[in-house]
Amino acid sequence: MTTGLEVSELTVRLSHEDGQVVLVDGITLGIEAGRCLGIVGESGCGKSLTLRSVMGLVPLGVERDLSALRVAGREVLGDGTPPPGVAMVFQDSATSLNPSMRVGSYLVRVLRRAAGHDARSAREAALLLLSEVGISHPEVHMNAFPHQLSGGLRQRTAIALALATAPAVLLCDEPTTALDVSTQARILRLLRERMDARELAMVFVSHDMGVIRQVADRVAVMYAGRIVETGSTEDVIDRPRHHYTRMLLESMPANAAPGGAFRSIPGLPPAPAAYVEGCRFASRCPHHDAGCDLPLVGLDGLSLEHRSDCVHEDDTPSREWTHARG
Amino acid sequence: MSGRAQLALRRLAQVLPVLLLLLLTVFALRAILPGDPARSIAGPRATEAQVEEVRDRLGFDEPLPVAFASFLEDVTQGQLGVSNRTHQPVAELIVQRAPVTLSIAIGAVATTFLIGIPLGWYLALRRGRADADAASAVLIAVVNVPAFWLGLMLSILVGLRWGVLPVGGLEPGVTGWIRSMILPCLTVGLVAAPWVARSVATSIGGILASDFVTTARSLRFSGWSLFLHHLLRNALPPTVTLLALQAGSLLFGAVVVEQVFALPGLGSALLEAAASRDFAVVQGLTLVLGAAIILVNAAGDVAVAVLDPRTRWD
Repeated sequence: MTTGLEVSELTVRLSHEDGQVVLVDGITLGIEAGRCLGIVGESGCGKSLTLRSVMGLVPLGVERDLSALRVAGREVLGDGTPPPGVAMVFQDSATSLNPSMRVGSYLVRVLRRAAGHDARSAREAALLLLSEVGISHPEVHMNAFPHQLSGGLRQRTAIALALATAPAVLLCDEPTTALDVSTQARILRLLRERMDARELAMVFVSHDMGVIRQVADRVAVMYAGRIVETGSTEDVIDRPRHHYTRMLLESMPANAAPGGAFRSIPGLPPAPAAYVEGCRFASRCPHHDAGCDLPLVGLDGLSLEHRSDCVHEDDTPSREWTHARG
Repeated sequence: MSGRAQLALRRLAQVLPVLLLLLLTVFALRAILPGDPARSIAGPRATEAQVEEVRDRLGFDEPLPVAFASFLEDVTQGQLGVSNRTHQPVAELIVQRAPVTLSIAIGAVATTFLIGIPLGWYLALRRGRADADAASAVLIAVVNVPAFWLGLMLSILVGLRWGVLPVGGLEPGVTGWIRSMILPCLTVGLVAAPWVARSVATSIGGILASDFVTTARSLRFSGWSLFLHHLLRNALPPTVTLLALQAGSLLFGAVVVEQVFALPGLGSALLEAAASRDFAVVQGLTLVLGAAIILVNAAGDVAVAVLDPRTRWD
């Protein structure tokens, strides 16, 4: 199996008057071609920022730092502009498409820029792409403005635009969050299909374990700017090892006992300025003890091997009783 | 008929009730304005009988609906009455005075455009940096400068001290006309430009931070093509709306500035007429200036509809 995407030691910092805050703390992840890595975590854990940083689209005042960025084995760590071979689908298709450009002319422009088509072949390629993403009347669709389309059709359009750049890696930033459940299922199916057909390496960010279970082969659970657990989707969801993952799964409505109260994780994630070197979940964890406050090395989301950052696991591989990072 | 033409027609149809309201208001001026118009027409030394005769002749005694109907009839025929003072038809006076005001308005819009829009882009693109923050602070101060003061300053500095341009009045010939218009246009334009700059900066700032620009960047749009198809396309509608909305204050600025630079335009005609209770002239000028603002706003709406597909009704 060939590697699709490899990201090494990604750190994202926000600079402000009093200094710097680390938002994403040196994470490493990767996924093979034809496979999907799901990144799951609460709002603010840095999962979307991780994707945007890979894409070179960080907001003003935020800087990224990584030691390597490889697409299909080739180093593409450039000047911070979108790396070749990587495309992205965004969360809200209502705002992510240019409101004053017709779908067709947008697609044609992208195709002409990215793949060097001439006007006629770009139009043909656009029609082909639209039918590829399941749009039944591509000719009609080409003339539509985004506001004339339903949410599902808009997201299909956004996927077609991303595929128009002929990517090897597709980054998906909660692309189904703004959709209703049945549309969501159809879009997820479409993404899996395209991934299989095009041998795409996919990274799919979501706060929804149910969605991750449907789409991902492998999962990285993020908390407070770090990966705290990683492994195959089956292992992580069926046999969670980190207390955070366990509590996250327990708080899914589908896992609540019928008639019983919904469970939630008490408290809030720490603010980035308050990130500690020890376990960052400790303050909300019912199993918190002195060992949790010792520095951690952090995990990487590279292999299928099931690993966790939690000290309450005897076989936690990443645990190092040193102050190496201090 | 195309969707755009249809939309333009519908927008123009909306103008009609507003115009009617304007006509009503202008007609009501007769009752609102202080002083007795019949008395001022007849002159200070006229007898009560003579005043009564004037009132009768001009139909000031007719019941209001009848008076309004004949007023409407006159207006639709281009009859705006006759000046009490000079006995010149008001329509003729307007045609005579309009070129000055139009020149100032066009020049002022151009000045506002040329200064406000690039400045707004600059502020948006360099937001958070020291130079843009300083420029923003200066703009807040400049926004509050009154047009008459700026006009006087320009007149004193450029006109009197440097002697480069006329201090006031119209110079003969085309070159003279242009030379006479530069300072008035600059005055009105410079006062309006900061508003435009700040507003453009806000809308560009929003577009720069928008999701669709992020998407465009992820699709490898950059530089000129990002600017043209993704930024400018979406920045134009709010800018056009803003300029149309500025039409009113630009005209008001022209009224003031004609006074400062002693130019024979509609604004100075309005002031002269108001000062001498020249009722028909005030009425006619208010009507024409009001209609101009209404039409400019409607034109702005139509332009926005053409530029922004989301406002189209098709």
